Amino acid sequence: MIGIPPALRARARTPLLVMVACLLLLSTNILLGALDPHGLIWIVEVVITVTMIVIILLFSMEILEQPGITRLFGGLGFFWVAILFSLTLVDYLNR
Amino acid sequence: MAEHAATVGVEVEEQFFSAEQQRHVATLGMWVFLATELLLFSGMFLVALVLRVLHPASVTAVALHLKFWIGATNAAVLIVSSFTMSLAIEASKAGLRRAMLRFLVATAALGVLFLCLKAYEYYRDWAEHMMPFLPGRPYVLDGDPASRLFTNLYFIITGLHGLHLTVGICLVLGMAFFGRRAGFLSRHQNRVEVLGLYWHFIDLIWLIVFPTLYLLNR
Amino acid sequence: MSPSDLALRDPVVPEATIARQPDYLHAKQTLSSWFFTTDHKRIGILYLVSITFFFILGAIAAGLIRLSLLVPNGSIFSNDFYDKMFTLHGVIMVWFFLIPSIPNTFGNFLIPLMIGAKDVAFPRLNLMSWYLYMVAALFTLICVVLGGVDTGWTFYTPYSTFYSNSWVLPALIGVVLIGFSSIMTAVNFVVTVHTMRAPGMTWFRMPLFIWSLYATSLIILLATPVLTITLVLLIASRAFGFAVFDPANGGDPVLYQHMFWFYSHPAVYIMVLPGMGVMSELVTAFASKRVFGYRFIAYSSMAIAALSFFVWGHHMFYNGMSESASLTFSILSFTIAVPSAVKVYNWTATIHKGEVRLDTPLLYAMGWIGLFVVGGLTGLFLASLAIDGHVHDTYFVVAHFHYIMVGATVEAFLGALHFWWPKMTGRLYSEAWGRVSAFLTFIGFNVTFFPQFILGYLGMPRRYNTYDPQFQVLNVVSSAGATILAAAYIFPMIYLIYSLFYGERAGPNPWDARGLEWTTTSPPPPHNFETPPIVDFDPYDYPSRAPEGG
Repeated sequence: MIGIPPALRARARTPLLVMVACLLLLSTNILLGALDPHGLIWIVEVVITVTMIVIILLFSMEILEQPGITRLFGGLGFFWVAILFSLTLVDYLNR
Repeated sequence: MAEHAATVGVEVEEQFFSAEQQRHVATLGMWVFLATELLLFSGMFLVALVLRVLHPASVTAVALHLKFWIGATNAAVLIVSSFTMSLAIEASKAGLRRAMLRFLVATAALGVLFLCLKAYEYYRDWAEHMMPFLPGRPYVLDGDPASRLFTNLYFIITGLHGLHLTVGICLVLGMAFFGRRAGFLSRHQNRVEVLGLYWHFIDLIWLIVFPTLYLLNR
Repeated sequence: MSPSDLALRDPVVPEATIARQPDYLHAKQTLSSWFFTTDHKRIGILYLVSITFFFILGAIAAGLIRLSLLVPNGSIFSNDFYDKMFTLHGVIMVWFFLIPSIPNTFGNFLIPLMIGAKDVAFPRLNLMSWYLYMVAALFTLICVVLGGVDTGWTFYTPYSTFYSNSWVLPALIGVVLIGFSSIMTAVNFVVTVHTMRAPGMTWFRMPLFIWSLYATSLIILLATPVLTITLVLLIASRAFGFAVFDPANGGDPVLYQHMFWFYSHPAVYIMVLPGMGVMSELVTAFASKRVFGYRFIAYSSMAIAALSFFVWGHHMFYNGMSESASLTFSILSFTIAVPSAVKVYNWTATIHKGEVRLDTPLLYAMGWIGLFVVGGLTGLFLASLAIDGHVHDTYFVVAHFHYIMVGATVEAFLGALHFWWPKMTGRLYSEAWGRVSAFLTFIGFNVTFFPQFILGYLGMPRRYNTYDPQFQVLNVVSSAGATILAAAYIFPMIYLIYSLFYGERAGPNPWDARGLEWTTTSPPPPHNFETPPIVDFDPYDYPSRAPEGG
């Protein structure tokens, strides 16, 4: 790998894999968006997006290497987003 | 020439007992802050979703006017910048100060590239009359009043994300500036890690913004 | 008589000079040592002074509102002035007094002391939070005084976006700024409680005040950003015609209310939970007894924090929300009464058969229980769809939330001020005046707000300067009560300030209370403890009473 000092090469493995995985997932999403083959394809696109988010949380932000309490706060934010969305949609989807 | 590894550590501030405690505090503080940031952005994602539920046709009409390929390129740019940020963190952990500086500058450069592409996108929006908030300037979807809502929301979401990214670039450049001094890594190594968390988070937010605005509504 | 004889008769003993490090108030005396301090105790004092100032302003506005409502035809003030006064009252009281009141003053002062730390985790951020508070508060104050804002503290759309001709935009910016200040303090508290506890201070050895402030901080963290973004959207609406909350352009005002109450309902618990924490400390100290059901109180704080996010829709039953959503929110709203009731029963059980000393702080605490029970039970009325249909947007609601906010927060604030005053200043205040004020607060409050329940039930709508003449008697009673309440607020300001100069010196532990903060000197030294404490005792380890007749 160009520009990466030898001492870093072993450590650069995970970030590199993360980048490659995210770029592949992103291109899949872009392709699906550009072609738009089916009306329900958005489900696949959402799944791919969630996968990218999980990859970044797990490997780039190294959430699993943190103490339990830090992990809890990582999860807490997403849980509260879920509360906000679900209870608001109880209203909008039943109008 | 290979760089010699410097000692790595943190200087303990007076309110702490140990360096380990101080590291934990800094990282936890950033995670707690990022949880609040997530809720900040999700408020806007909620508005996007509700608009989609209330006015699906207008939202699709706007999404087809957005510059899909610029948004997609920008997503790729940020993924690469996250990679260089990760390398800067790894270099700092290994005590390789000059490598860390190089990767920090590369990260900031990619951030600036994102902003340039974004600025060009805004320019194209302007040229294509997609700025309904400008008084006196005609709006391309004028026959569809509800579409103004989603167009305006697009500017607010991308604007707020751009603001966060600008702050991130300043912080990365600041870190590179202070990181020039020898001994930086022996006193403040964990600051690079904490900043890295913020940067990855901005990347993560864009990976949600991109589908929310450009992709899912096509 | 020679001078030496005189000396023999009245020997002048030189005052003993004890080599002791100066306390935090006397460590440095310059102005810059206050304005650039990172000492959590001094920041707590800065907050105490500034928050009290804004409380006085909000109270004056309340007084003007009650003055105007003495007559039914609104002839004392113009409608416009009345609208601006009740907005000023709401905005100042909610964001610049109630939300920061107990956390930012007593929380800042006590959290490190109670968990045995030298300071909070981020001392500089703490100071910045105060500066942001001051900037936001003064900015908002200038807006609501110079320009006036007439939307009410809720900024409901579309009135606030397109129709109001007052200074809504700058006031919104001020409220967004104060949100950042709250978030900074909350991040600080959460991280401090997690990471800065002294050796041996396990989670279940923490005072319940810490538990409740921790729960409060969690709510602030998770709710405030949603308010921030909602107000940013509102700013965009007002400044650029964004219209997302404007029904005329396809927007939805109910969406604004959803997002606003996602913050503002939990915000009620931001105001109440710290008061509940204060209660646990006061009740145990003055009943000299272990708290009844420690874990239940601790868990109920966390339960309240979580449940508070599931109930916001009960502010919107009759605003065009779908029926199934109303039903969902109604049912969820009943659940939050459970942890609140658990706490009240536990405090009552703690006082029961304790060695009760009816000192000022306990009088405030008992007043708290009385007001909170009324406020909480009427909350159940409002959570029921049918009754809410009858009383929503009437004075019944006004009375209900004042019983919770003033009853529970202001009573607790005053109780906490009297309880920890000796620790903060090293002085004792006049106990007799303290008791008088505590009684006056309780009486004045009930005379002011109980008639409003009746008024609301009879159908007097809120927010108007004029009302039907048949309601005048009860309105005059309510206004008369407000004057008693005003006296009850003015007395403490006088005798507490008097005690600063002439009060008796308090020892480290004037109440014979337990907890780490009472083990250090009063006022504490700059780093809180002469030697870092190690905790090997349970919270509230008051001596168990000797068997009777033994």
